[in-house]
Amino acid sequence: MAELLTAQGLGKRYGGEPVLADFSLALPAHARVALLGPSGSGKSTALRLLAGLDTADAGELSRAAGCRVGFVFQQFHLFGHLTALQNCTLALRKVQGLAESEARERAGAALEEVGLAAHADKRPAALSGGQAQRVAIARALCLQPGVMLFDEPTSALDPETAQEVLQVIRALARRGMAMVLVTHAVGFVRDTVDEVLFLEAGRIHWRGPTADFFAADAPPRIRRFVEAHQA
Amino acid sequence: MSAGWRPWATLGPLLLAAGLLGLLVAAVMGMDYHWRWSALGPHLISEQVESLRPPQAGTVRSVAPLQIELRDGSHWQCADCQAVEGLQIGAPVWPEDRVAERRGWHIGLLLQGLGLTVQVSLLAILVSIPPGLALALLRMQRAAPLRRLGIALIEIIRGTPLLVQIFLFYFLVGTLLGLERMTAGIVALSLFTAAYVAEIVRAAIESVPRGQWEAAQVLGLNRRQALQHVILPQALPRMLPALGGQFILLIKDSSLLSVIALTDLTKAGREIIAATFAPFEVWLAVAALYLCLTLSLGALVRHWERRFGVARG
Ligand SMILES: Nc1ncnc2c1ncn2[C@@H]1O[C@H](COP(=O)(O)OP(=O)(O)OP(=O)(O)O)[C@@H](O)[C@H]1O
Ligand SMILES: [Mg+2]
Repeated sequence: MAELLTAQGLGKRYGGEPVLADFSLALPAHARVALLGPSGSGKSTALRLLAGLDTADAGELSRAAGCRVGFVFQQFHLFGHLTALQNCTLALRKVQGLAESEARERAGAALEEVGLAAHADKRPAALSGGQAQRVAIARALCLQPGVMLFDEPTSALDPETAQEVLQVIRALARRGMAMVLVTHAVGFVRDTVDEVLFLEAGRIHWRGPTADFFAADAPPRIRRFVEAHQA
Repeated sequence: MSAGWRPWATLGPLLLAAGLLGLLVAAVMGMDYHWRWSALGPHLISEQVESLRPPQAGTVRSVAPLQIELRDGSHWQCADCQAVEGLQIGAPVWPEDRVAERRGWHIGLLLQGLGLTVQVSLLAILVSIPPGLALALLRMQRAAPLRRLGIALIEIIRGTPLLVQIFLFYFLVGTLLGLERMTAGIVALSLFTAAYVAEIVRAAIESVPRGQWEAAQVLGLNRRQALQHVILPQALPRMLPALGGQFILLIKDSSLLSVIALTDLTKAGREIIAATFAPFEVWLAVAALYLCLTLSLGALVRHWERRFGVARG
């Protein structure tokens, strides 16, 4: 099966200090991968390299032809001067060159998918955190990406609101969207994700199927992490 | 948002201004100065009466409207004029007779100067924006040589007196390129302002969170598109207050253009003083007119701030 996204031995240094080393990942269609690990272990760095937001200083990265990558930030980063709908149509019009009407139609469908069609004309300041993050997801979705990358999409939200966003991501996974996500919501990882990569100090410390990650006989470091997050 | 009406915020400065003015007046009274505010009148606006005479001898055929049959058989009439009193139909008139008068308004030197100051300032403000934006972008380039060029240009402009720049620009560049006085003045003023506009624009652009650039980047927008559609629209409301202040400075600095013999408000004031010997009245009037301009611009900028401020979020 052709991989959508392939990373081979990616590495990144900041000021000579290695923050990510030998990061490899092959993402086939429909794959759902979680990047877990303690704070500062390099999860965001890895995700940003995959998205092309930063450039690696070692290794190789390749994307299947025509496969776009969508990215969702912890802090949403919605465009404050634009409405929810305009946030979605901007790239459709300026990058993909769609006509206004067609862009609105596609953006409307994406907002519908995240359950926010009624809020299309609101500006980000008038949205709750959960709504803002769902708009950010819709903004990425309407470009029809082959892969979605999420960097702690619910860490800025209270637990209840987090659920409403996770529900949207879960629905995306069900319809077969390939995704890599960094999250602390282990419950979500357990029921939605196929593969877990556990990072520690910039290296992949452990990788395997989700079931093994949560198994009672997982390595002690993993057990400690899981127990701390379930508490 | 609405903190209610705070009387001291409004009354305080007014009382202060009134107090200072009172002190000034008291000081002047002590000087035994003879106030002649009426001397200002003709330099603001005055009514002019123009006397009209027929081109040849003839006979009055109608008074309102005035129509005269000339000796050669043709008719002479005038629009928007009034026949002099006592002129009768059928009366003979001669070329030296005052048969009618036309009343019109004459704009005085002070208002002409005000007009020139407004014209020069508005044009200079508009002309300063493109080079200001260009300098800001040059200053923010990743390539070091371009960035240094931007910094150097800005520092040179900010580091030399405007008066010197006006002289240099008018006598050197203006002569080389054959620029008119007015053009040279406007360009000198706008280049000077552009350096400050550049720093204001840069600060506003840099105040937009980096996440906005990154969100644009992951959506596939290139740097120019991100700047145009995402960053600048959000930076604009942040730069308005500082830009307003800079443009108020420009209006006041335009008085320096009198050194290249442009009769702006300040130069008009000096010429009127030479004619009337009423320096206090003239300078107070000049100051009041500048204040009208700067206060209007300030109000306009605050209006825009409120309008665009909504877009913040
Ligand atoms: N732009 C940067 N400049 C310098 N150091 C950086 C930069 N970005 C990340 N780092 C460093 O790289 C290391 C890994 O950071 P990264 O953000 O990838 O961690 P993380 O696993 O996402 O952590 P968290 O769970 O806190 O988000 C950290 O030590 C961080 O300080
Ligand atoms: Mg992170």
